[in-house]
Amino acid sequence: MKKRITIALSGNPNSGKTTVFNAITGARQHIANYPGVTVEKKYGRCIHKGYEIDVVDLPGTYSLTAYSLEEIVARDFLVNEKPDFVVDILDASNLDRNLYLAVQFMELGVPLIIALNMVDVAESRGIRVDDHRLSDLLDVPVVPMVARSNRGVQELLDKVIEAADAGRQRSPIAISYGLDIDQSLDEIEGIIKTSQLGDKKYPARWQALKCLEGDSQIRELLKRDTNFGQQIDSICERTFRHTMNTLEEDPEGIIAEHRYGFISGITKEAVKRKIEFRLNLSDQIDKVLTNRIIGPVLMMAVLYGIYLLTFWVGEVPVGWFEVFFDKLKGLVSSVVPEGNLQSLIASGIIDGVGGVLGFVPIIIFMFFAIAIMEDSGYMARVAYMLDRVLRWFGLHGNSVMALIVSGGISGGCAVPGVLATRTLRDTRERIATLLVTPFMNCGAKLPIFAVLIGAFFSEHKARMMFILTLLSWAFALLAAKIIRFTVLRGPKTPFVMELPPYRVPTLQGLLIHTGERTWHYIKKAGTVILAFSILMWAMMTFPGLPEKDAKFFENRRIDFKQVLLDSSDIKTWVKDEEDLAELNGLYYSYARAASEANLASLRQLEHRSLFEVVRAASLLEHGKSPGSEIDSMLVSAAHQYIQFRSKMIELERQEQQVALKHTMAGWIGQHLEGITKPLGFDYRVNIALIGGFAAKEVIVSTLGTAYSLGDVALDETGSLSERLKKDPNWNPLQAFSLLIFTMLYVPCFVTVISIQRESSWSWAGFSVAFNLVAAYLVALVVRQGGEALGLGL
Amino acid sequence: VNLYGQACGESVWAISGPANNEAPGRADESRAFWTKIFMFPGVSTRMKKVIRMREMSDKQKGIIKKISASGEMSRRIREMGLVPEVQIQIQGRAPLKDPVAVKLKDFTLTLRNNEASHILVEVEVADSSCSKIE
Repeated sequence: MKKRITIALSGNPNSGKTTVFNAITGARQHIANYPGVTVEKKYGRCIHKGYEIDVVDLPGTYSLTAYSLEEIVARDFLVNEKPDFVVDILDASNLDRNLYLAVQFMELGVPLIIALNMVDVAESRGIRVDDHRLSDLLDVPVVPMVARSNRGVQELLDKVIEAADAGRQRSPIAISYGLDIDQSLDEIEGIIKTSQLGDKKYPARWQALKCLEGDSQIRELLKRDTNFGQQIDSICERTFRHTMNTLEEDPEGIIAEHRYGFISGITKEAVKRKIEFRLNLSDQIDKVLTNRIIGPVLMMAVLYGIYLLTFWVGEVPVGWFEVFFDKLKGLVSSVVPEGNLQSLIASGIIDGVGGVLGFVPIIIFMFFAIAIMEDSGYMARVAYMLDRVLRWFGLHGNSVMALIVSGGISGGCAVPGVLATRTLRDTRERIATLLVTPFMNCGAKLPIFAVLIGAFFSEHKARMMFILTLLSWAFALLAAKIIRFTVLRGPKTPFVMELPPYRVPTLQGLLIHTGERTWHYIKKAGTVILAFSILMWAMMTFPGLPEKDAKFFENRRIDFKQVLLDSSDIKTWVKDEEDLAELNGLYYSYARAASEANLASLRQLEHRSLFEVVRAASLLEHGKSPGSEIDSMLVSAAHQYIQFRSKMIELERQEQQVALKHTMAGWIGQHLEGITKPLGFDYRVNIALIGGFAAKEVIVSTLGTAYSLGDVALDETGSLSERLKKDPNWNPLQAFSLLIFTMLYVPCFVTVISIQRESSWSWAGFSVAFNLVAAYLVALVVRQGGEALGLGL
Repeated sequence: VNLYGQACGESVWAISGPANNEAPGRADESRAFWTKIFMFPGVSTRMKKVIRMREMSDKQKGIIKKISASGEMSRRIREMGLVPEVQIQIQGRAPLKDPVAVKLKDFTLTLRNNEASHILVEVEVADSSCSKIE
């Protein structure tokens, strides 16, 4: 039987924890949330020497206080789930600070294995860590490794198995925190032990320590018994006063200093360094990249460069996707008989999902660029350079992360953006960031942006995209300022952040990063959007045309046919309805073969009896002369047929138009027209915007469906962009006002749910209302102001 | 020659730092002014002074002596490795002069100016450098 071991990976941010996790589990990873909260829980499994090792990736933290959600989550996991081992990843080139967390694990008494990562980087900086000595001093197994190049990973797993076989018996280490603190610790520990108070899952001394450190979670726990709780409180109070009087330092500070003292005692023995205080390569790079003048310029250039790359390189595969889905639709139309089923597949499913998947290449490039920024360490520099600005708006330097992930570099997603706000510790700053993340240009907004930009601003694609990004930042920051001045007043929180050394990102890391995010997007497209596409299709199809209207259109159609069949010239070729059906079919086949320049199928059609008529009609339709050598009667017949066709198409369009107005979506959209008229939005746009609540990608598919339903010409398979361009109701101003509205209006419901999870239903509701009002007002100003200035007409 | 340039005198007596987490205000500045008037030149050519990290110039080195903050800010500062007796060097400042980047032995941190004013650092100042500042 296989033996199972559970290990929890922990470590400081930037210690290479993710790299170790990837190296151990490879592609066998899963992502879920910790129960009750939305801190991401990554887990995976590997088989090593007959052991099944489950690996849980704990959130990266510097400490184990109850100071941030990540720390609480990590702590709770350790005491509740009791993993067999905690593998703490330490950056060997930064051992002192990294050991601070390890010492806290030892205080908590969890079975620990230390993975000494990045020993190569340490050596290159003249730092040599004696891992045997370190292991002896800490009485913890230590495995040196270089996770990037897979060195030491097997040894780490060996050590895990070896330690598991040896059985785990660990007791918390007792560090001396100085006479005053130690005395108080003893007292509180005594009370906890005699009173049976507190939680058995935590060691009593650890709980005492946390009390002195002012840990809110543990203090609450011990307050359950008022009598003992008060005793403990008074000891803490007394200790605080005493240390403040004698040492001018609070107990928390003294404890931290003693931990560092304990650590430096160890590193003095276990670490040999050749050079102290040398400017390393990272510092040299920072001299340029965070330079007062060059830094911001380069930052803007990097952001702009990402757009250019994404749009230029992404354009090619996007084209392939478009061709593929057009072909697929053609195939469906030829296989599935006309009617509701064909409409469902072509207009509901293929248009809906295809419209979304078509943008996957763009999103992949975008995510790849973000992954490079994150993995290389440049993202932290962006936060550093922008902090002064963001603080003015009541946000935090770390807000930049959330805003960028949400689409500050367009192509993100508000859902991970909302999750990224967990790094913000202050509730007010966090909620303010949460509320403005949906303003950013997430990947789901890109399709509708691309359609509108492609149609009306095609000469300045990249520039327009850049302007939209700047606008989204401007609106988000302004909104944050307003929020922080009104509903969320309050002070700023500390901004102590690490500038991690620059690292060349590993390809594996980039691919996993990009893959995960892209897959998330595709999954969303495949599930929510497919379901909603079908729902929207149903809403736009049913109940449909009233019988009276249907009969009217049917009669008109019969009239048109009769007129055609009665005319003298065409009689030579078309005698009855059957011939007409044959002609229609041939015309359709011819048009398709001609548009695809498919000579083989054209040649096949040549043998058909009506081919000459079709060819002449097609030439006429395209405004060309059929040539003088052709019989005049044939030309006249072709003329009549073309007239008949255009009348039929016109009729069909009218019918669809009426039918759409008689659907559920049409009903809602029309009733909203009164409100949206000042913005220039008709019911079709309204319907699409309603659909956008499900996911912003749906705006494109809905608009596409709405327009393809009102447009029957089968030989016209132009993209939505071209259709909008041709529509007389559309102009650049209208497009721009829709762009702005889409950028600002309601977050998609997945985001709303995430916001609710991160805060409350009332904040989620506030977010929807706030965004809607903001979008309406801004779009109104754009539209009305633009019209007054005579723009875009 | 003004021997007691601003960078020298300012914080000699400001060792205790602000009592709460507020950034130093006008009162501190006026105190610095009087400090300047009454200060006498040191005997040796190199002096050790305790100043706020905020007041350190770019590339200046020093040893942390005290964290005068409390609560969350203190915790955050300490858990990131900024504790007494640690050697630091100011690496630079963000384009808008704030936050400040501080190099520790093995890593680099960024702090806002108002956080850096809670960290008291012992720096070495050559007397001659004082006069150069004017």
